[in-house]
Amino acid sequence: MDFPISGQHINPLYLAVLGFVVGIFGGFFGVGGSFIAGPGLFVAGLPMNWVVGTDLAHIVGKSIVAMRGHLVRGNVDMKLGLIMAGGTIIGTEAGAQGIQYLKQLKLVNQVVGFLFIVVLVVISAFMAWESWATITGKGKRAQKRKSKEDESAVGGFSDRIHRIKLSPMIKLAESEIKSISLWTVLVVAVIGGLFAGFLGGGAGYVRMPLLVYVLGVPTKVAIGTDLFEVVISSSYGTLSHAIKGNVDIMIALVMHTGAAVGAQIGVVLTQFFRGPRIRLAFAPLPLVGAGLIVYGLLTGHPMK
Amino acid sequence: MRKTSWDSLKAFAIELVRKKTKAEQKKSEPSLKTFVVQLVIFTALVVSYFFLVLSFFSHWLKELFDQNKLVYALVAWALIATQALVLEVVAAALLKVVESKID
Repeated sequence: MDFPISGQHINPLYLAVLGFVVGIFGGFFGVGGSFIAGPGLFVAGLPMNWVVGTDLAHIVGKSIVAMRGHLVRGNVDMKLGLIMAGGTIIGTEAGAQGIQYLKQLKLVNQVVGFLFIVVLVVISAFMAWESWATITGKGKRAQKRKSKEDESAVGGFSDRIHRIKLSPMIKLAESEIKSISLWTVLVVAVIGGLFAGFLGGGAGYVRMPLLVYVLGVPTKVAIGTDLFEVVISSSYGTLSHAIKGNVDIMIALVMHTGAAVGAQIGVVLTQFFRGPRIRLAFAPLPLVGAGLIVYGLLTGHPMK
Repeated sequence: MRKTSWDSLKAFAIELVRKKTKAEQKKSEPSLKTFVVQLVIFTALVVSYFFLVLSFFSHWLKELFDQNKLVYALVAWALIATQALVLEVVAAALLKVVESKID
């Protein structure tokens, strides 16, 4: 099928199936899924500048569907999402601009890339260890929550974060957080945004663990709230890229036919898993982000 | 006082995004049959909507892309967001009808 806007010829069934797979990931893990959709579109022959913009456009639609699914299940903390939105956009812009600046200094790209790989591998290894420890009997130390049916072997860390008294302090009822510094929330949002600016996409595979382990948000609420962030950041990215002529909305709409259905399935699947099991399944995802950086460093064509 | 169609519409919209109670979630979630019906309705709607856009807007979108990128950007965002929102609303409404027939 011809897509006149980008001037490409791509099989629509391939796009719908690609969207479907990404949709399941989005609904279940609360991520945008750029690490699958980006390479998938690139393999289909779409030039890299179109890949980034078009992927962001399809993420908007899919994340709205998945977010509504989580919203009715009480898994979206709107207050937290709105506070984080500002920090996410600032972080995304700072990340994108910072990388542009650092690229002018040769070798810095490799240094930054290496640091990000280390961070992503550590996140992945930590999540695998923590969720496994929580599942297999080390639950004596686990922090149990009453209403969100979640627990963690390292819940004490977020408790220490909650004790940082740096005003203004806020209450996040949906996340069952009685008191937390606004600045902590903003710092987490900016860090997530920085990764998004550097890697492209929503960088949910960084933000979701930060929400769980640093802020102490229950896993399912972290997924729903992360999707809220993804809707905002990908909308911003879509408008920005479309103005630059990097969005083929027809391709995004075809992908969304599969993604919308996949997202519905992903959301329903979260019903059948407890927080630690979702985190264990999530653990390999940061490694995909690390793989994309390695690919970019080796070929000189970053997936962003 | 008589319920107007506007009130019904408003109630339906609120119902779409309202956080369900545990009891409501328990009642609706485990039904595989309902979920499959919902998926079939949703898939049919998404695919038909896409072909509608493809037939009616493809040429116009290409022209818009060539002539005015800012308007194209806004239309592109609106299309993808509308596809998500409108289809959710229509699918939910159809599901209610189908559920009432099944029950």
